[in-house]
Amino acid sequence: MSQLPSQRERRRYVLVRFVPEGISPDPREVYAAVVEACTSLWGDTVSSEISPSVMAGEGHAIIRCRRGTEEQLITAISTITRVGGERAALRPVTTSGTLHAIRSRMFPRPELLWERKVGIGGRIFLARAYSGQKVDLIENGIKGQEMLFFAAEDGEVR
Amino acid sequence: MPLIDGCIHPYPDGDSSLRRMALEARELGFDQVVAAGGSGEVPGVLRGTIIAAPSVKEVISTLQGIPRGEGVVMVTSGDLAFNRAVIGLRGVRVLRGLHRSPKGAFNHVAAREAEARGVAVELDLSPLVGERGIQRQRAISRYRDLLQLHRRYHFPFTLASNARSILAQRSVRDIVLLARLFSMEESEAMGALSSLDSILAGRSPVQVVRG
Repeated sequence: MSQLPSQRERRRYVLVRFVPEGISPDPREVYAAVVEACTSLWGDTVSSEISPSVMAGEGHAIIRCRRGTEEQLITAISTITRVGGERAALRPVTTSGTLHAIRSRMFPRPELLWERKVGIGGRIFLARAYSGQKVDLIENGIKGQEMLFFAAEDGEVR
Repeated sequence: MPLIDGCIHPYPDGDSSLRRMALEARELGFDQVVAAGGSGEVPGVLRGTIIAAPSVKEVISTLQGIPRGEGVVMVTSGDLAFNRAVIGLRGVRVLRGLHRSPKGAFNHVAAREAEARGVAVELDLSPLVGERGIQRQRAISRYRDLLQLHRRYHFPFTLASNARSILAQRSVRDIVLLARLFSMEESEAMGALSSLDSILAGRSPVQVVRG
């Protein structure tokens, strides 16, 4: 494995964005989800080689791994379906060897266009419309939060 | 060749509308998706019909109710005899759910017939994403067996997220990496993602073979 003159191993950084829009989970919960996904898919040995660590921000996270293990990390990331008990997905955006380069690829969080209450099937949802025709509907019930995902052109949310 | 997600299940089966899932698929690098359910005419969406019947007779009667050439007809697999009979039916394009069928449910004879009839075998990626432990291991093992048959007999594959939510949809790159879990090469995965286009176009009655 190639090393820098300082004897530090080379690292790779994977930028991921969270889906649904508008969530910013706790970095510790993201780390727990990434480690669980790596361990269950690749086992302890390969997970220790990947050696993931997480820096989470607004709507995105940077996940660090050892160079040469980024594809294994991305495969594991694609098996994440929950973060901290909430349904979520992590979409890999880009991979880079430096934090500087990856920060330049960061994008602002999608703009919230409007927010209002809509009724679907006798239930009341809080609809949040984002740029790109996306409308997320959130229902806060006794059993927790339920989400539906629609587009601005869908009749239900017009 | 367009890249196609082999099957998605929009609202009301899932939690995301057909339009939203089509938007998401485009962002994730797909040209088209096959939607089993959902409503409205949406660009980039092919209509799919899933037939899950316990007997061939019921599959035939359901097929009779579907106008010929309309959408992608997918039949949920059963045992070997069922699968061979279904592959021979006119209008059936895809055999799905083989990871849940008994181990010998798709052998070299079925593989040859699938190749001859142009019927694809769907590799459902949802157990690789959503399952853990033995369920995922079984699916990977079954897909590896199917891949060996595919390399020998060249029947078509489709790769499907079977997503019921935008949260379960994966990008083309993610799917290629997930397919590597059962030793599928990138070229094979890309071929499986684009195979539906040629399956739907159908085979010409006359094939020109160059020596």
